[in-house]
Amino acid sequence: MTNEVRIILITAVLIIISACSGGGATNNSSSGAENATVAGIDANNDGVRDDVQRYIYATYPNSAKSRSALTQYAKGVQASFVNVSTARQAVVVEPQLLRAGACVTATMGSTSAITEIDARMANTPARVNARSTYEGYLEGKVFTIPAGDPATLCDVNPASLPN
Amino acid sequence: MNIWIRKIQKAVMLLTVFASVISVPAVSSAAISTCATANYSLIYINGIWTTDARPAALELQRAIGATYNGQTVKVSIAYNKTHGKTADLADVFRQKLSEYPGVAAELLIKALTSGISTGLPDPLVDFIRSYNIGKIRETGSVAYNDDDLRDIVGFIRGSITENQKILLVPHSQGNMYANSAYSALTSGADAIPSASIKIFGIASPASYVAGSGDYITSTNDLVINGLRAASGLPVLPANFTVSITSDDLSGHGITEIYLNPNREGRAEIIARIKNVLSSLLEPGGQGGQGPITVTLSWGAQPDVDLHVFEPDGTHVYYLNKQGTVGMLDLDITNSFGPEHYFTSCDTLQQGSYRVGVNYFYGISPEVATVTITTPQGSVTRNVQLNVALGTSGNSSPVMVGTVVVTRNSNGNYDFQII
Repeated sequence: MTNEVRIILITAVLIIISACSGGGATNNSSSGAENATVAGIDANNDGVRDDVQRYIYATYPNSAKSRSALTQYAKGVQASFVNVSTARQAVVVEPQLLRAGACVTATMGSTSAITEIDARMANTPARVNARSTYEGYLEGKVFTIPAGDPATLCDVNPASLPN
Repeated sequence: MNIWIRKIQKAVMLLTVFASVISVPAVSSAAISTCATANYSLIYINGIWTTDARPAALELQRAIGATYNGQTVKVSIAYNKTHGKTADLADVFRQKLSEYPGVAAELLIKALTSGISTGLPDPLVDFIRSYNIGKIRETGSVAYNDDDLRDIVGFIRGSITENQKILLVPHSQGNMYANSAYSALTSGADAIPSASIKIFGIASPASYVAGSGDYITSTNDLVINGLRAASGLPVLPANFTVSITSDDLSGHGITEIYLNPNREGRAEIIARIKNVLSSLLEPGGQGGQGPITVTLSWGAQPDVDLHVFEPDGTHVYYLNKQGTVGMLDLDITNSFGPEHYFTSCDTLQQGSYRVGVNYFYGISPEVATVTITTPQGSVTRNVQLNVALGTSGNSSPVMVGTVVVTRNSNGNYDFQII
């Protein structure tokens, strides 16, 4: 399956999810059920919470490159919340997050969207706690920001996306 | 006797290695993030909150560029140690969400840990500002010990061995951490050259910049102003004015204020950082750079040896300096080190690179420090060595860590240090 086909399918699933929840494509707030656990709801099982993915798609409807880069970043944050319970696991996840952050910066020319995703990911006390726990594992450690072509930083090469 | 035999062995090996060095192929430019060598190492250090470190370091990387004065700039993050002083964040978040049910969760968490945007009730803004001032005071009152500084000090020593010039760029309480790291690195018998490391502080709550470095604090920084007023401590005076933004009424945020492309501070900071970069001198390190580097240092005892087992089983050490993938290019036998191993980019292989040390010669217990660095991170570990084993320890060195190299779905290398 090509990256483009994969993105079209994900978009379709998200639109269906939004329609079923009565929120429509622009409803990017999270519901009680979505906030009941740290992991939240990830109906299409792509590693990103549905409420965050709705926000991304509603905020950047005309930029597949931005959506793809931010989805990569949100996926990394989600992994840091739900897949990490040791410092050793954290040092595996953090480089992925930094690579995703570098992808966002290279693609969008700004880091402000990263801050927004970070805030929306930590939108309940349990998620704030998950974030604090993860960040505690990072304390005292050193990581290098990857540099280079967006094609090497992004999971989906931005050049392969239409806009 | 042992040590003289060893010196002769090493002299013979030196000739072999010299021949190997000149035949090492040029580094490929195909995978620049993995293979590029760095001349400058810029290390961002966050304040009490960690999340902002990513966008801040990325903004610095973007603003300074991949090269300066024709030399490559590498940007890293050294995550500050908070000694658990921020552990109440989730509870405070829960309490304030409950007190102010009309406030959006994402605005509240941003306000607590990043920037206080417009639209929040005044009492909440006042609380958050006081909360952050209190956290800086609490965290700043804790002295950093060697363990707190182990990784950043090890990373910098490794970078110095590889002839990189170092600039620390701390924000807020990270200035205390930077001052401590600077002091640990530039004092003692194994001090690094102070002309090769500087600090450029941002929004500093400290009373000085170690090494007579430069800093910038905004006159509109209400957190630092509040800290100065509340603590009575000799906090460095504000020396520049950055306009408040609607994203941060506290005037303190690293990305919302100081590195904001639409505010006065960013251009000033980047210009001053470039000035400091220009003033740094090469430290004279002789170690090569590559996707994996390992730096070993130790104390006053004469000789500790670095051993690396490459994925195909090749044992790289002082008697076999050239491996299949990398080589031991520095080998010291008269105290402190460093010994240094680096991999070539062209010959990098997937698999495990196992790193160990052997206490070769000495009369007292010794502590070895090993820093393993990859394009994705760096780890420094200390190893207690009680008795020198000479050549009998060559076949069974004390193992310190393993780098596992794999290729991801994009065909790029991933590095995991375990």
